[in-house]
Amino acid sequence: MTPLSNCMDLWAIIPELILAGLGLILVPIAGLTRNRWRQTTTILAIVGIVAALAFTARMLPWQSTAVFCNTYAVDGFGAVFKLIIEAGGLISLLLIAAYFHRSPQVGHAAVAVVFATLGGVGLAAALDLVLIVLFLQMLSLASYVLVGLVRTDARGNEALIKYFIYAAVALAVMAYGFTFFFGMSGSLDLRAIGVALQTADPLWVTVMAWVIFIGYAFEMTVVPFHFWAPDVYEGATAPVAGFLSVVPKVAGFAGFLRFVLLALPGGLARWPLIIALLAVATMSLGNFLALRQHRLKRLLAYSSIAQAGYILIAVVVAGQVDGALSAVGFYLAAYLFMNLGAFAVVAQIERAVGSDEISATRGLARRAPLLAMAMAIALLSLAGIPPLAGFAGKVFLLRAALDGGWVWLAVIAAVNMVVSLYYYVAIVAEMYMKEPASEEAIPGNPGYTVVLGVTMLGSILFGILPAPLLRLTDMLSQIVR
Amino acid sequence: MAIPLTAYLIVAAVLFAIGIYAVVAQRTAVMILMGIEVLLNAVGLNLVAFWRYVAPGDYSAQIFTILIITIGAVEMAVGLAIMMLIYRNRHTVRVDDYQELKG
Repeated sequence: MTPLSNCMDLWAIIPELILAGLGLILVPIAGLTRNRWRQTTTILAIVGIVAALAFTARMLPWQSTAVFCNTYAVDGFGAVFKLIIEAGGLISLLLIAAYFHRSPQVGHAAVAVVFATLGGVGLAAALDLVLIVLFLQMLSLASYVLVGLVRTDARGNEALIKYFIYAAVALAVMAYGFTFFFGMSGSLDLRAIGVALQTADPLWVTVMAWVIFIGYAFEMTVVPFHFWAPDVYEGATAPVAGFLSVVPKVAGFAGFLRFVLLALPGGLARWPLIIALLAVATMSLGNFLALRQHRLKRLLAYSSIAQAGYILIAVVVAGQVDGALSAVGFYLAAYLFMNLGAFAVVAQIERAVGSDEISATRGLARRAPLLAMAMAIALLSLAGIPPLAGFAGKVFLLRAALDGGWVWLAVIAAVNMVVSLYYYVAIVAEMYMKEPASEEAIPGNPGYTVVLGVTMLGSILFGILPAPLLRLTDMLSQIVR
Repeated sequence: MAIPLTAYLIVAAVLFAIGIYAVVAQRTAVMILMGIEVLLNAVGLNLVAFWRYVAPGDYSAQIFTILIITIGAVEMAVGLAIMMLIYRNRHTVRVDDYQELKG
């Protein structure tokens, strides 16, 4: 046993320390400020997350190592996922602040986003079952607060209780699976578990791996554990739905990849096949149900379920193909920009029109050209139209699956991508081809403009010039073993 | 050691099954919250049993158990707060009455 003093590697968690300190400082500030001073919380939170981003970026070239008595990873894999999660937290914070501008919720939202980002960041680097449970809980707890921001809204309340019950049960079931992995290996370290499980009873390993997958599948909205997403997105406000579709999902993918690569090495428990089947179910069901939605938030919820299915096809080959991790990272980064772009537009429409029916976007190109353009770029990128980021990302995902020899999986994914065109293009047609019901302009504010600008820039730039982002996500292959 | 490890695991599995049943079949939110608590207790019992029989020298499993208990407490606090909020708005905690969001 190493003495505790050797384990205090505080130098390795500067971004986490910044986020944690920030969250703790913001709690009293958010509670005490009134009126115009409420902005202080948001501004401090933005500055803090930017600082965390900067420190995480500085950690990119560091040598891979495990710190805090082998419980926490410092590696390229963690650093890249941390960057994506922090960027997602930052953009959603801007969006939430613009949506709740001048209302009492804005301070609480900032605190919750900071803590959720901290939970996600920790999950991306945790090497120990205890830390995984702890950070997952931190992420969920902050997300509950965000879903319940508007306390008097009946739909928001319903979404909140559904989200709470499903998340709590998923976490408990996952922890139950973890206890058996501990029992079979005698260790809580993912790498030691990976070694010990090679010789354990394969039946028990498989069953408990499935039980554990439930928790991750819930965060990643993988069928059959996706059912909460449409209800919760619809009941929560649009910017919070955007946050939920990005930060917990990216964190879920990061945690899941680290878990299967370290604790189930070499396709133990046949996880690649299980995940391949789940990927097919996820994208097919997500797309099929998205076709029949008439509310934007529900449609985007099913669309984000389908997108999770696409990403899973590269997760399947993560252990065998070199470029697979990079493809997952690239797609998640692109997804962050395009999905938050779409939710930013929905947020503005929801505030102005008071509804998120698809018919509310009718003739949007005449009423608000910038909004219509941002929405069109986001949706076409999600659909995978060249030269947008979603197209490049989908090419990398499919190529990873083909390199791994999963031809049938790539074919099904490609068919799904074509089907999804229908519902994305239908909204674009609604915005550009139809006459608006009223000519009234949609009011904006600078927060929205920044978010729309950043997301549009990301969706276009990473599509035309994927190389820089790809060079960044290539660092995902540096994972502590 | 009169009692074998399997006995503890079976008790924990029964607790787990009861918890799942409560979550799935109970109609009031408070009972569902109880179910979640029972699920977490199954996890805690499993951890302590495995620690005692598999890795008695490694105390990190005990820390895990304490963390699970803490999570249970936190979830109780948050869950009851959510239910108070909803009761104030709707005057019911029966989950069947929450059916607005679907499709």
